[in-house]
Amino acid sequence: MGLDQILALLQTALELGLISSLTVLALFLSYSMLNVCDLSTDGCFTLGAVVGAAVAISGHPYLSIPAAMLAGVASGFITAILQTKMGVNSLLAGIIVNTGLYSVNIAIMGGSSILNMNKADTVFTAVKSALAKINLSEQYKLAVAAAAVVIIAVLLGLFLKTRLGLAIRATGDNPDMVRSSSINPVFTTIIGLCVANSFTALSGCLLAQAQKSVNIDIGGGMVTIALASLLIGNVFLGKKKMPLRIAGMVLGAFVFRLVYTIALRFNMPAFMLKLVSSVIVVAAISIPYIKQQLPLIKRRLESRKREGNANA
Amino acid sequence: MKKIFAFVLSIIMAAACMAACSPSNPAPTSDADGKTVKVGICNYVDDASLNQIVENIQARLKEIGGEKGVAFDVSYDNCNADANLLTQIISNFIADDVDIMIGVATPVAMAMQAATEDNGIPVVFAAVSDPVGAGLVESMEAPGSNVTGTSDYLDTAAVMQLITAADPDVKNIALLYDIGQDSSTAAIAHAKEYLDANGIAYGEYTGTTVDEVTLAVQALIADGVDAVFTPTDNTIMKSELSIYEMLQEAGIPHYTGADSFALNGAFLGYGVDYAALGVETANMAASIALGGAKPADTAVKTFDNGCATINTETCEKLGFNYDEICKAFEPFCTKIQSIVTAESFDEVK
Repeated sequence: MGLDQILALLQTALELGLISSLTVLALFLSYSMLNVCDLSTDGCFTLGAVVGAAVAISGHPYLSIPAAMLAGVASGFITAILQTKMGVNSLLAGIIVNTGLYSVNIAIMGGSSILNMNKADTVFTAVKSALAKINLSEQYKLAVAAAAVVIIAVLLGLFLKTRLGLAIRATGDNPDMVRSSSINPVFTTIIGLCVANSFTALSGCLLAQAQKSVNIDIGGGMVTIALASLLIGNVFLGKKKMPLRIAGMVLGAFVFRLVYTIALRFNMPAFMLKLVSSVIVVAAISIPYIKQQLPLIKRRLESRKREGNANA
Repeated sequence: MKKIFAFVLSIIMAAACMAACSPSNPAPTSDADGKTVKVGICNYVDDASLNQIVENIQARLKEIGGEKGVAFDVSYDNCNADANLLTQIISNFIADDVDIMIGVATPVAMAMQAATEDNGIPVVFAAVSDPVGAGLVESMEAPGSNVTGTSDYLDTAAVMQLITAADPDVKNIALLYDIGQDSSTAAIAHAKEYLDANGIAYGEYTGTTVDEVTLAVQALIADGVDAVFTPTDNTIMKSELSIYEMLQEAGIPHYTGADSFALNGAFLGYGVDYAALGVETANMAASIALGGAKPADTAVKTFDNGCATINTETCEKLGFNYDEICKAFEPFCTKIQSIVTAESFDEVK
């Protein structure tokens, strides 16, 4: 096992981590900021992948990105309207949209469950031919993914600093206060979910184009993976300022993939990886908690000991 | 800051781990020939037919290794329909410097095709129903790139002929499938063409989960169809044990695209023998890895899918005479075999 292979494996983990970090950023906005657990994420991820693939196959590689993001906005809009205007519970709204998107996604693929982009021009192939001139064509996936993440992360950071962004953050923290400061929480929820779902769709679009194929299962389990990455990211940089927290999300996504890479390297069968990721998420959440509780537990043990001594 | 430092440190340690503990399966002892061929096999999802293929590939590779004095170092993984994981498994294979990759089912084949575009590692796929339609090969005879393999293309017209052979007055056929299954798409299109050409009415009944399939079956029974056709559809396959009794009671025969359906209670399974498909896939991989055959000129192998499997219990419940049915089917099949209802092939053997 040479250095080249290790670098190649790390690069794959980084590529996948960067691409899925866009979904993590989406959940960062909807789950951490707005306090809405958006269960339409799986379907929206697939929607982005499918729309991106369909547009790219029809010969518009660059148009595929905004098209996928717009599809995500539409999906987020419906999820938001269901929970703010139609009295549907927010978890249920996500599940309903997720279920409905299955049919929509199959319809977009023309009744098929799989599309191949092997011969189609995508954003990745365009960048690849551009990078070939400076002899970096092997890093094309990384370049596209990194560029997308940097742009989205910066935009998200700036957005959260605006008046509207602050209102969205406040909506998640304290909806009553928001209402009393005459901000409409319905409006902030709708905007927040639209923006978040456009990130999710972009994430799906990029993964499909990087893999040059899309199938109906591509978004399966994304919401759990993204939540896990988000929690891991919180452990590293959760209590810092906003730009660092955003960077933490990307870091979390990469660490999550890295764990898979290492487990596969140890010849762990792939079906065991879900258990590995569960254990890691539990560790990520509970270790800081237990650390915090440790002095209390110590004191309790000591006082019990003292009592025991006194009785004896 | 401390945390970031710790993180960077842990990455370095992880990298060191990977270097030190590179694939821990011991390198197979090489024979006199001294040649070791590294093979990476990836399966898409746990499924009776797909697992059967993988088992046969592995067994056949071992056999060939023994005959030719070559050691096949096989690493096998199953991505369980996770697209991210699929990419990681394949890049793990590439890091291991595999000489050849075998991808079972269409999504795996596509991901391998994308991953080997630049490095040209040969890819042999197994059980891809429509390799040309999926864009894996240019044509069945001359694939034209580093990708070739075996196809479980279903001869739909032959199944339709069996339906009319058993019941010449058949008027209305139900097409029961999952619209999300790529393996059904081409077969259902062919079935519609055939039925249109022969002036037989048909209705489409679809479901994506066991519940929905059960509802679809109730609907087709209510509509009073004469027979049901299902191609090699994994969703219906998973539902077969829950629907076969309903169809038996309604007196409707279920014609399907694989013997595993008949095992689970369908009247007839007609199609590719997946064990043979696995063996052929291994043969093809060996001839590319050892004999220097070029994937670009190695034709995609299809199978003379003339083997009909009849479930004798269902046959009796439906009021068919097994011997008469065999006689009616004989002209259209290379082989007819019988089976009884069970959950897995192991129970029957």
